[in-house]
Parts: sequence; C-alpha cells; structure tokens
Amino acid sequence: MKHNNIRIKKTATLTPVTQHDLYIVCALDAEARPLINHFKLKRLPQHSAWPVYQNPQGVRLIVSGMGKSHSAAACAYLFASTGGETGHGILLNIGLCGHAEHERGHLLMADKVIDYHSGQSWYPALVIRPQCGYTHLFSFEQPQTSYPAAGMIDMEASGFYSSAIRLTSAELAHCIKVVSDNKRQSSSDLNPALASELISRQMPSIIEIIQQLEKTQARLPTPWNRQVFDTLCAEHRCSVSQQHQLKRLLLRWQALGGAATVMDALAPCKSMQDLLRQLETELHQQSLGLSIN
Amino acid sequence: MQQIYLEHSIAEHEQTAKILQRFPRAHITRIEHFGEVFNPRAQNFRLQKKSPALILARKQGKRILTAPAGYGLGGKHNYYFSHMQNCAYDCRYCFLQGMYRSAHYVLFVNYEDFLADIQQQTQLNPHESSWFFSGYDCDSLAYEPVSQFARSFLPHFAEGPAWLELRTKSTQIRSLLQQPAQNNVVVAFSLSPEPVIQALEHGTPALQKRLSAIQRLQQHGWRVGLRFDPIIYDADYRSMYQTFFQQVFQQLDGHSIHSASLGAFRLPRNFYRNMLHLYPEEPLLAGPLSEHQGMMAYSGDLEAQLLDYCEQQLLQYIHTEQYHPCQY
Repeated sequence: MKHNNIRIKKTATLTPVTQHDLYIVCALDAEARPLINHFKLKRLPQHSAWPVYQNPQGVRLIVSGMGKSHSAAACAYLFASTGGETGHGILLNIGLCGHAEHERGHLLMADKVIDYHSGQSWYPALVIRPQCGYTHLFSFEQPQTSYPAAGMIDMEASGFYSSAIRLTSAELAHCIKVVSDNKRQSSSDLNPALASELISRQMPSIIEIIQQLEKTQARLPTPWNRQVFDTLCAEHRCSVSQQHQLKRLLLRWQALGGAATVMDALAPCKSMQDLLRQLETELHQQSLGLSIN
Repeated sequence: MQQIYLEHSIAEHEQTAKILQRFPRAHITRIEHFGEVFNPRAQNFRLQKKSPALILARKQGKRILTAPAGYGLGGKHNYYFSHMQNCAYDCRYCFLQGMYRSAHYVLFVNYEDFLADIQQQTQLNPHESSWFFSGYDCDSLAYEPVSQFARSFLPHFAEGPAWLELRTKSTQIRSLLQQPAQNNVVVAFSLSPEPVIQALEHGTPALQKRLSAIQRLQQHGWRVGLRFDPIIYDADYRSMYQTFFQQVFQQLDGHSIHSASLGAFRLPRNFYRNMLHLYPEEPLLAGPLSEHQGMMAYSGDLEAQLLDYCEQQLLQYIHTEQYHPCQY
C-alpha cells in the first residue's frame, strides 16, 4: 500500500481543538453544582468510583469527596479516564475554605499550597492577575474549629496539587476558593444550598479566571499531527526506537512547513529504515532552503 | 511586575527595599530559598516567559566561576558571574530556555558579596590581567533600571586592575553615560542582522537603536566590543551578512572597537532537546543541525562555511588583533 493518500496541507496538520481542556475537582456535590450548571455538564454513567461529569466542549469535573487523599486520587482518575494529555490541561480545585479574617463569600486563589502536617509546599506559577488576589492555602487532615494558619484553610488542596502537578505545569494548576467561614461566622450553619449559593455568587469571577488561564494555555504549541505518524506506522513495521525517530522527524517536517512534496518522496520506501533515511535526507535539503525573511 | 517572590534572608536588604519601591502594586510572596519556586520540574518556560515573576534572592556559595577554556579576550585569568538568572528578552536561540525550568527573573541582590569575591579573586593574581565577564545568564544592562547592577558595580572597577565585560543587547545606557568612562570596562554589544532580530530576538532593540547606543557610549569614552554570536544560517546568508556588516561599519569605526568575536549558533544537546519540546514549531530548531560531542551545531561543513564567510567580511573592517573567534 502506498501512502500517496497522505498529501496533507499545512493547515490540515492541526488537530481539531475543543473549546476547553479543563479538569475541575470539587470536594462536594454542592460545590460542584454551580459549575455543572454553568458548563452544562452531563454525568458519565460508566464511572462508578466517583461522579464524573463532562460536556462536549472539553470541560470535565469530578466530585472527589472530602480529604486530601480523595482529592489526589480523584484528580488523577479524572485526568486519566477522560483522556488528558500531560502538560496541556488546566486543572483546578474549586471549593469552599475557611479564613480567619476574610468575609464569607470572598474569592481567593492560592499563591502557595501547604500541607499543614507534613510541611510540604507547592507554588502555583502566578501567570495571571485575578481581581480576587492570592494568599496561602493550608490543608488539614481534619475539620478545624479555629484558624491556626495565616491564610485559607481546607482539607483538599495539598492532595489535589500534589497530584495535579504531575499532570500539568504549575502555570495551569490552581486552587480557587470561596470563604465559607471565619472567626466571626462559623461553618455551623453551612448547608448544601448555602454552599452552592456561595460558589454561584462568584461564578463570574471564576469564569474570568478560567478565561485568563485559557489564554495562557493557548500559548502552548499546537499538538502534533498523529495522522501522518499513524499512517506511516501502519504501512511499515517499526520498532519503538524507530517510532521515536519518526515522531522527531515529523515534528521537524511540520516546523519546516509540512510540504507535501516531502511525503511524496517517501512513497517508494520499502521499509521503515529506508523511510527514515529518506525523510532525514529530504528534511536536510529542505532546511537548507530555510529563509529568515 | 505583578508577582515578586522574596527570600527571607534578603527581605531587609537595602537593594531589596529600593526594588520593592518600584513595584508598589506587586503581590509579594515570602519564600525560604529561591529554588523552591525556580527549580521544581513541573514548570513551563514558554508559558512563564509572557509574564515572569521577579525573585529577589541571596546568591550563596560560589559566586565567581572560572570561564571555560577558550573563552576570553586575551586575558590570562577569565571568570564569569551572574547577578541575575534569566533575561528580559526572549531570543529563540538562547540556551537559558533549555537550561532553566522557570522563566522567572532571579535577581541576587547581595552585590556586596559578589564585589568582595571579585576583589579576592583579583588579589590572587595582582600582576596579571583578570577579566570578569557578566551577562552569561542574563543581559547585563537590560534590567538596569530595576537592578542598578552597572551603577553599583562600576565604581568598584574604577581603580583596576581587574577588567569587566558587560554583555548586552540593551540600550539602557543611562547609568553609563552618567559617569566617566572606565578604561578597564568593555561594553560588549551582541549584534545580529535586522531580519534575525525580527525573527528570533523578541523584545530586543532594533539593530539601528543598538548602533546608536554604541555611538553614544563611544562618544562618552567607553570601550565597546562587538559580539556577532550567534551567526544564524539562512539560505541567503551571504547577502544577509554582507549587508549587515556594511551597515554596522558604516556607522562605527571598526578600528576604534575594543574587540569583536564571532560564533555560530550552537547549543548543548540537552538544552536543545528541552527547547525543541517548548518550541516544536520553531524553524530555527528544525534547521540543518547535527550533534557533535554533545553539542548541536550546523551540520558538516556548513558551520565552517558560515564562519569563514562572516570572518572574511568582518576582517575587512577590523584588525586581526581585535578579533577573538568563539571556541567551544
């Protein structure tokens, strides 16, 4: 089989993009509800370990349950089970928190996430400037009745962040919290309806933060074209090492403009070894014609 | 500057106070050590580069390093130091993108320790020339309005015998023009053809602006060096570099230049791989490069052809004694 059918124009090398590449972890259903409604998320019936929601535009949400370990596990589960590509997605932990001073309903993002018991900490990379501002976020093992740390307090963020940072970069992993209780107003009157309402009121700001993060995310390189790779691999037997080499060369081909003539020149190749050699030669010739202007 | 990380150890430093005054609206996060923010693996240099934070830190440990063999301008003892990590510019060929995980600017504010180390190092060889090169991990002048680096360091070189090179693409020369020129300081400008600047040196001053800055410095009495490094391959490189050298030396008197050097585009292999991961669509990195002894450079005799041609052009305008080819 010849691969003349892979005449591909440069514009065709772009993978179709969904509107979002967003993963949200909430501890409670009540915290998740305003997000589920806003993004019109549908529950995916095949997931029984945790409730998982998704929409066709690429927003995914999981309700992890309370606690650091649940949050860490659910974050990884959501990413892996919905086809996340490492290094590309926006991963957010959205929910309620306590803060000694800030008013109930106040929105904050974390500039540092600290596991209160182990002392381990993480710094989300602050590449956006949200109106709400940043402060430290301390994660505890148990619910707190006092405010022993200078910052937000919760029970999930450190678990979420330790997991999220393995799946994406620090610019795209963040914790967004709404204050539910403080020194003057305890959490004793907090119920699901009020929790949802507190998040709902901050939805415009949360959406603005997501939009800013998506602008940042858009600066990532376009995912490479798998179509040509898959076609060539299907036509020729190839080792894992040859697959890596082919991927490197196809990325180079794409960077040099993705000329269809290069693919035409590969048509007579009988084996992957021949094809790689020929592709390397073609790309070298093409790179000699590189013009800065 | 929207975000500043502040090491506890320099929170009360005089230099810190001056810098913080410039950014009253910045969000400040206290840290124990700059490595907590700068070194973690899960960071994307490309994403951070659009909005880098400033990290104010204390440089611990060895501050003055011996320059690699072959690096220098004829001096017997060559050292380099970095008061800053990362650069205000965004040059696509720059090795910093491949070396660091973070694009945040780390500014080491304990200048007094650098200066003490420079003095100590100079005293080890009091009768031989010692050169100190700044601008390896950053541009020496681009951040001058904030760092006040040149303004702080130059007075300490006034008495000699040590030499200082400030490597830059910047036109931030006010602090140099506000003080008398010093014979043992060379302001070394990196120059490239305008098409290369447009394509690859994002955020840098245009060639014409750099040439004007050089002229002003020379008129003020400062010694100026020219660094044609990296030379970039283009299908039409002969015409591009011929026009470029003509333009440079129409405006500058070649014989009054302190020194000039040439070097082709090259990168350590690991840095190249990191950069390819960050910028897979960049034609420069897809160019005719191959690996030789751990370095990625133009393949085969292409590098030699490029350098020979540019050397031939350059030597029409300067004496061979002024010329120092880059070796690696």
